[in-house]
Amino acid sequence: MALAACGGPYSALAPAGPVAANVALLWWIMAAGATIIFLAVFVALAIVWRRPALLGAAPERRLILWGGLALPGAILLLLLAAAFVLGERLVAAAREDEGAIEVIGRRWEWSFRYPGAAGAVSTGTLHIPAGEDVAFRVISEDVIHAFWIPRLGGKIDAIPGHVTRIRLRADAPGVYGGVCAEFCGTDHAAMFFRVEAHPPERYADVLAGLARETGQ
Amino acid sequence: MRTRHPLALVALAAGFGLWLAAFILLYGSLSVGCRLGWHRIELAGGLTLQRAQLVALFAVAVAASGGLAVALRPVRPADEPAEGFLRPVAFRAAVAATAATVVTFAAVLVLTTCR
Amino acid sequence: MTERMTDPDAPPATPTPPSEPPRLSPIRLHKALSAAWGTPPGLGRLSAVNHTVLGKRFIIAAFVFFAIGGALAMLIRVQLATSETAFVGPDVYNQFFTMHGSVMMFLFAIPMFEGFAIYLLPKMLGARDMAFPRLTAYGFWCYVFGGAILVAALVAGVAPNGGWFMYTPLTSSTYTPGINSDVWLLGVTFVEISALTAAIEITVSVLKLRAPGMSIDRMPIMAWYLLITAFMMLFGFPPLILGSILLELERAADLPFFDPLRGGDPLLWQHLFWLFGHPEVYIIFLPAAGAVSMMIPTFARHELVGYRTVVVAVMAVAFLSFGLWVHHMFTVGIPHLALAFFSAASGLVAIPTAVQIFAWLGTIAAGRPRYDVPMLYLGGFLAVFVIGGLTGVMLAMVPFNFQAHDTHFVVAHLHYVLVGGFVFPMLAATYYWLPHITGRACERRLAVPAFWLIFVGFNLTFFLMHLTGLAGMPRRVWTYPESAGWDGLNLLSSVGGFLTAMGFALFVMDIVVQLRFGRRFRRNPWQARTLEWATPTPPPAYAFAALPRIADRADRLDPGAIGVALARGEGYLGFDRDGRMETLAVEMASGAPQQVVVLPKPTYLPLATGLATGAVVLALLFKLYLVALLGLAATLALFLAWTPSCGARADSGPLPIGMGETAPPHWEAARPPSWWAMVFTLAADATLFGSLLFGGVFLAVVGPAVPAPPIVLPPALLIGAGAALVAGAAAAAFAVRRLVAGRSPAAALLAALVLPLAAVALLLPVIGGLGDPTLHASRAVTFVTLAYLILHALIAALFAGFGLWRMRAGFLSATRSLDLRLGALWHGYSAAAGIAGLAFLCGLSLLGVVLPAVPGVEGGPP
Repeated sequence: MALAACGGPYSALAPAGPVAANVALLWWIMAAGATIIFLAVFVALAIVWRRPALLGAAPERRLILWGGLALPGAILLLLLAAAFVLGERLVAAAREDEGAIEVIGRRWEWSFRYPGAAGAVSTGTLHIPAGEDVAFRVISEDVIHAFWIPRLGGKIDAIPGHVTRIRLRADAPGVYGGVCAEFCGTDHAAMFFRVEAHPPERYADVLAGLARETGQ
Repeated sequence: MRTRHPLALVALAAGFGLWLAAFILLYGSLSVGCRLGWHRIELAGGLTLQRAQLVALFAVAVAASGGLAVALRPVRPADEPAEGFLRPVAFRAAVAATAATVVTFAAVLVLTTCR
Repeated sequence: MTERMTDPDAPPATPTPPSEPPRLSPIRLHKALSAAWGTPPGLGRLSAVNHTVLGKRFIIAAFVFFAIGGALAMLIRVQLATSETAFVGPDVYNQFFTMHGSVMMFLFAIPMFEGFAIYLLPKMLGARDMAFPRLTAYGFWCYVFGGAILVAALVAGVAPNGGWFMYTPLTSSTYTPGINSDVWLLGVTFVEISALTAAIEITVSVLKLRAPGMSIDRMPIMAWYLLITAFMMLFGFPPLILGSILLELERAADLPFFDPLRGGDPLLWQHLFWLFGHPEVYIIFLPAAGAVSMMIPTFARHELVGYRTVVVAVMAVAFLSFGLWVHHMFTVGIPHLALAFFSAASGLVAIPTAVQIFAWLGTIAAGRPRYDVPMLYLGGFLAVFVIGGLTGVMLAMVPFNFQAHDTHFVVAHLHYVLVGGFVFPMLAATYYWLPHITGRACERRLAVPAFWLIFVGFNLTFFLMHLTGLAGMPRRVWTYPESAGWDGLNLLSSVGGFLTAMGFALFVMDIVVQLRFGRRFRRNPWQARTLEWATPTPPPAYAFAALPRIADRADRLDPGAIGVALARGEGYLGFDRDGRMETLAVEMASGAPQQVVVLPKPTYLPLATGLATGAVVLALLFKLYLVALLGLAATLALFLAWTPSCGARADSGPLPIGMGETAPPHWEAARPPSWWAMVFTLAADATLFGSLLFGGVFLAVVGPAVPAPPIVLPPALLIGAGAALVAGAAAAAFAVRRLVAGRSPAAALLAALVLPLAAVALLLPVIGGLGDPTLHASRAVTFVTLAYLILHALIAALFAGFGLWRMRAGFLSATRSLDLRLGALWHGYSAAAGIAGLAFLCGLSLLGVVLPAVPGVEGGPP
């Protein structure tokens, strides 16, 4: 059953891009660490209940000092440092970008505008080039939505009155699932979208085709 | 049992009170700085006005919190029983708050300030 | 010994104190005190103000709401059991999950802990009741009426449907035109009144109403937990109340606080909501942790180790919890450095929590542990809560949060924290303290299978939900396609949900069985060492026939021996003084007895006031604003009707309190409970005002930059109004000085009445000259700030008028100056708020000039 989370079109644990892969790695490390900590707490409980003598005389001070302060403190500092480094790549990388694809959330569909190709717009399907960083500029036309492609990694809210940004990359051409993560009313559950990652050499053609469709 | 001023109890919360004040100050000046574009004003050697002011505030916060902990350090002999409780507890809280100040805000030294 | 002697303002004490009432035999003492403290039978029960009665009512009502919330959870699990289920549609489902969250948070968790606190706190502290019994009753009615409004809306099919955190613009009148959102905003705010009254009561009761000798370092650890929790509520709830008021104003009057097209910002709601919402989680957890800290020592047969460390840890949790609200908003596009502050604080909060857990383990290690039903449930608490804490640290890490946020992973995490951190400890607490309520000992037969059903069912439901979330399932979806691959996990979660429900059904059966067939016992069935077990069980209305003198830490006592002595009337106040309801107030730190607090008799006034408040809420809901205004006047008049039974018309001087000591009645003391209650009320009020000012600055600095129309603030009027408020405060303070010096305060009071009215007269043209406040958020903020100041000036005038009335009625003298000192506090606050508010408005209009001139605005519209 645990495998169920690792597969599927929307699984964050089946990464298809570097951001999702880093976060998935972080998750597996944290999950392993959490399992060890959880077991350690219950081993400690068994010891204090059954064999407190193992802890020597007056064990309470040492328990609080090591179990409460020192160990969790050290683990936390390591984890924070790792998360900050990763966060710099994820959050801070998403700055203003001329060529960013504009993502428009509205109840209850997603539209995508491609500034490179004159007037190209698609609704319900996002076209990106595979193997390169893609910048997104996310806005909303009504309520708050959240733009999320679990297999590529990271989500960002679409908030009326704000522009939010994110950078993602698909390692290989393929089709990926996207969802609206922030509750947005009646058809929130139906606000899926499809992501098609094209080989970079074909991407311009795809956009040109889109522009022709939009023009008609 | 001498009647003491009720404000003596406030010392218990002084350490973390400073932490909270630092939090509001740093978060507030970070937002204001980003709004006013201080992260684009370079002072020297890659140091922006934004980072400079945040690091300065961080230093003040650590100094204030550490100073409070020093001021509350245990003195002997404790002059009355309740004092023997309030002061040590206030001291430990101030030490914990100083550690919290360092951990919470140390990121001003390295992370991207705006966006 | 008494406070009066150390108070330089007070005149010398009356030299001849009245003699002590006669000693009675234990039986006659019990009869006399029962007659004085009892609640009338029949319909008279509605007049109850007693903490034992109201505590039980809070607990029962909270459990009823828990059952309603649980039933909604089952409906949710039916709907999600398989893909594309045709059980309910999205419109009904959205009400289900919104109400499930709202009911569990506002109508179950908070009131349940309030009920435990109200029932237990006075008994743990060695007092006969809470500080403000009528306020307890009023809070109860506000809670029940507010809850009834929400549930009635659910039955009528117009329940809130925007999610329990009510994100706007989804909940604005544009996207939710019906009354669904209004029901939430008004109903929950109504219920919050009871949370605030409880917070004030708990704070004052812990600080003042303790047994003599119980210095602050001797308090039972639960009192520390509840004191700190109550402080958190004082500062945590006002931002939510302000947010609700602003959103309701936007919905009802079109003031655009959250509309990005008119200078508002939907993110302001998120900040205000989570500024409350995150401390809220710890407000729910800490009382439960306090209960754990009471139970573990009893079953470990050893006092809690690291008492001081635990106090520091609880304080650290309380403060840190106010610095991590943005971890609910990591994906809204905030700079990484700001995220880092909140991320670090969110992770840090795990450390004081770990300190508490290891203090409990250390207590077990130091003692000789013994197993019983409460310990089984505490084992469940430890397992579930530790997992919740660990996933909490994971979610605090920004990159992971970007993936897991708004998915079922978060749903799993929050249930681990709240069910682990509150429900399991409360189940343990129920088994632990139920014998105190019923006088019947705990039986194990059904309690053990009930535990295993709940524990296994809960973990099946929610452990798997972590995986469902990582598999990409967002929260709050009413259905999902089969192709998403979420079917198997969801089906197992639903099965687990129904196992949990069966476990709770068994728990309810068990409670009924124990009420009916439990074995009776004499006293202290668990051999606990805290004071609540020194009352007779079930407890009489007066709790203690006499109040003990505490000479050791309050978790090292022998309740059996103390209880016997107190029942004989050996201790303080071990007599009946003219049928008055008396308890003692002590000096906060040292626990020296200071005042005789005379408590009010049962009365229907709290019920009537609650009904009037409910009428205001309903009138606002149905947009009958004239009726709402009338209801407000009625509420105010009823509150004034509470006062004639307070205080006295003659000086009494120090009264004998037994043990050869004396203390004045509270209205002759310098700082009685009501004085502190006013201070804490003003602290909460200041937090509300501070949140409003924060909102104004937030919108100006980081909100969408929409050019604001100019705001005209005539300086002469502002300065005049500020001066009038300050002069009014000075007049109110001067009135107190006159009275204490033995001279008439009438002229000063009259000035304190007129000056705030003059300030109102000066501010009204300012508000009138603002122009249309619906044009831009900055105008709306200015409008609300001015309205806030006007309201406070009006109430200040009311206090001065009240002082004149009390003077005429003979309640005031040089020793009885409390009424005027309460008014002076309000006046002082109004003046301070006036200065701050007017300075803020000037600054805001300056910002409006400065900011648009700055090039390269971040976060503005394209």
